[in-house]
Formats: sequence, C-alpha cells, structure tokens
Amino acid sequence: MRNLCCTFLLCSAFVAVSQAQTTLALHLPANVSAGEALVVSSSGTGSRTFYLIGPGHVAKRRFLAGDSIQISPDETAIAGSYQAIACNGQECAATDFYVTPNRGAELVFLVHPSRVPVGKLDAISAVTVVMDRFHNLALQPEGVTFRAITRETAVSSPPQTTRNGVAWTRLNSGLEDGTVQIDASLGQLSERRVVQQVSAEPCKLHASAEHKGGRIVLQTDPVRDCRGNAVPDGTIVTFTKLDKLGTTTVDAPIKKGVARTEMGFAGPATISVASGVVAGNETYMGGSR
Amino acid sequence: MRLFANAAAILLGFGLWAPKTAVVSSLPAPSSLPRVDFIVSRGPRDMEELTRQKIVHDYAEAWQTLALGLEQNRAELLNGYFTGFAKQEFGQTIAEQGGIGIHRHYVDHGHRLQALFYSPDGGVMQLQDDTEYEVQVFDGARLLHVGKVSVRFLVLMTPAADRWMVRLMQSVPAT
Repeated sequence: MRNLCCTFLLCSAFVAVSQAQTTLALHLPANVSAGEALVVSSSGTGSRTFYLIGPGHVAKRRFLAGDSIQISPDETAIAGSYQAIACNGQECAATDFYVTPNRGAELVFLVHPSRVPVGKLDAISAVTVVMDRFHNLALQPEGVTFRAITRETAVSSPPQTTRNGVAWTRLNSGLEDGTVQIDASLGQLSERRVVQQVSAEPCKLHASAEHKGGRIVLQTDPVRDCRGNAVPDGTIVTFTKLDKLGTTTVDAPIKKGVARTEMGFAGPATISVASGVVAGNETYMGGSR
Repeated sequence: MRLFANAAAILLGFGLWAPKTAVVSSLPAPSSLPRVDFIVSRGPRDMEELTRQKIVHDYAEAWQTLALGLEQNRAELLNGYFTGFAKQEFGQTIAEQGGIGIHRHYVDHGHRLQALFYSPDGGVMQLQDDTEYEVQVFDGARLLHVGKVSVRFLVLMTPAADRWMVRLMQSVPAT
C-alpha cells in the first residue's frame, strides 16, 4: 500500500511537472530567416514572462498565456541559435530555434598590399567576405567576380564561388607603374580598391661626380627600373666615398627622379652608388681640387 | 506526510524539480582558459607554428572574456579580443541583458578549431569551431534555463598589434 501511494504520488508529481512544461510550451518554427517577424503562439491561462535569448539580442516581456507573442524583425536580425523561454511563477520552458542568414547584400573587400612593384606574380591578394544586410556571414554559395582595371586594360576573373561566405583570388601586378583598380562584384553589388603599382628595383644605376669648390657634387641619372618606369621619389640611394680618411656614406632620397648629394673632397677617392640590392657605377676622383 | 516527503525527495533526486534559484559560481581564475584544440589548416597560406599557437591562445582568451562579459554584464571585457561586428553584436547583447537583469553562465567543455581559410597576405583567417558548452540563463538570481549545447561556429579573426581578434562569430547548424 505504501509503495502504491509512493508510486501514485511520484506519477502525480511527474504529470504535474509535465503539464506545466506542456502548458508553458511556445510554438514557433525551428528555422527563421534573419530579419523575419515571428508570431509565437502560447497556450494555457495566466500571466507569464517571455524571454528571447539570442546571439545579438536579449528581451524580456510579460504576456498572457493564450495570447500570441510578437517578435519584430529587429529581434531576429543576427543569425544564430536563439532560445525562447516562457515562465510562470514556478516553472520555465524553453524552445530553441535557428535564425539563418540571408543572401549576400554587402561585400567586405580586403586587398593587400596597397603598393606593389610592377611585374610580380601573385603580388596582390583580394579577399571578399559576403554578408547579408544584417552583417551576417552569407552562407549560401554565391559567385563573386574580381576585376583589375588599369589605364590600358581591364581583366575579369571567372566568378569565384564563395565557401562559407568567403571568395578570394591572387592577381599579378602589371608591367607599368600607376594605379590599378581592383573590383569585387556580386550581382549589382560592387566594391572597389585601388593599388598603386610602383616601379621595381632600379636598373643600371649610374651617378656622375664633379668638383665644386672643395666639395664633390654627386648626382644620379634619372633612376628607372628595367621596364623604364621611374623609381618613386623617396627611394633611398646610397653614395659611398672611399679615400685616405676612410669610408664616408650618404643616403639621399630620390627627388624628381634623381638622387643628389655633396661630399667633402680630401684627395683621390673612389665613389660608388647603390640602391637596395642594386649596385651602380664606380667613379674615381683624382688629382687636385 | 512522510510518504509525500519521500516522494519529493525521490523527485529531487531524479532532478525533475529544477531549483528556482542558483548561486553563480565564482569567477574562473585567469589561467583557466577553455581548452582549444587546433586540428587542421587548409590554406591557401601556410600557417606557421607560432601563428597556430597564438590563434589557439587568443581564441581561448576570447571565449573566456565573452563568457565573463555575459556573466557579469560587462561589455568592456570584449575590448581585449573582439572587434568589428562581433564586438558590436556581443556588446549590444550584454547591454540589453544587463538592462533587464539577465545574465548567462557558461561552462565551457572545449573547442575543436579548423582553419578553413587563411588569406594569402595573412590578413584574415576563417575558423570553424565545433564546441560544446553548458549555458545557464538567469533572471536575477532565478535560474530560467540550463542547456547543454553542441554547436558549430564560423569565426573570422584578424591580426592586431600583438594578438588575433575575433571579428565575426556566427553559429551555424552542424551538418
């Protein structure tokens, strides 16, 4: 008898709890699109509290059981797992649902570097992250086209299909200095970045020297790379003088295409010029001033 | 009466009566980072061992600060390892739940990371994190919900001056 009573009480309590869970239960779809309004239905009677717990939003409001609960588009903007929780004074019941991202509506476009030497293979990295209008990663595969446009040419890639919202490519730099515009486009969406193509290392670096009073004036010819592009102003050219006093070095930036400097003269000297890894000519200055 | 007490004791023993209040456990020590295993990298850029170690460390730090931020409703904790959309969204969540007295306690059971994409210039990394954790949702001191979750996250991380920052973290349905 005692066992029977115990079993009965156990079952009664279990049923009561189960009923509470059942009457608190909220009815909503398992999957919802980001930014979609929802109407959550409830059952039972009495005053309850509704909680919405999401990755980018948390809300709490009172409602009457039996009424429907409105979830606005703003509340489901962020994709991910959500929990809808309904509580009465004693119990709570939770329902999970997932908010899926929408199709791509925004491109995050990363291009690197911003300056690149001409004539280099795979020198430019272009990465696009496709996001929906709520800044969720757009997970459906979509075709992104990359385009490189210079003064003379325009080259398009075949559409690159996004994987997990990311598409990427590598581009060679052109043969002439100047800007290259890199575009990424997805349907009507387009993002643009500009990369400055600069000349490569100087080629055939040549400097001349002349006496001027008690000094030597050193000046390079116009400094160009091997394709004839002017090496950018600011590039450092190093002049080195070796005489009886030892070695003297002067770094001079290129200005208006040439590098220029002056050094003291203390007798016969050998003067060399270099820029980066490129060595230029050697000049011998001998005799009197 | 005694029978009822016995039944109640049995019910409690079976966990059918969830406690209505719970004490939030003490804060984890700074050294108790969640476990992060890095299992594979898919390029296109090769990943240096040092980078891999740094990603594992910084991602664990990011999760620890996120869990603390959601537990203590302190959005400023996100500053260390979150940036961009992730910082904005989690910061908003923390502000909202703090405003209505809600907080969450996470018990982290570890992360399995795969690098799905590491850009050629090293400027962005996309990771897939298969993780398990337990989350407890509180309204004030009242425990509303306890859930054990297995979830997959897609994560974008970008390098900052001395660390990798989480720029986007989005859960996806596991396939």
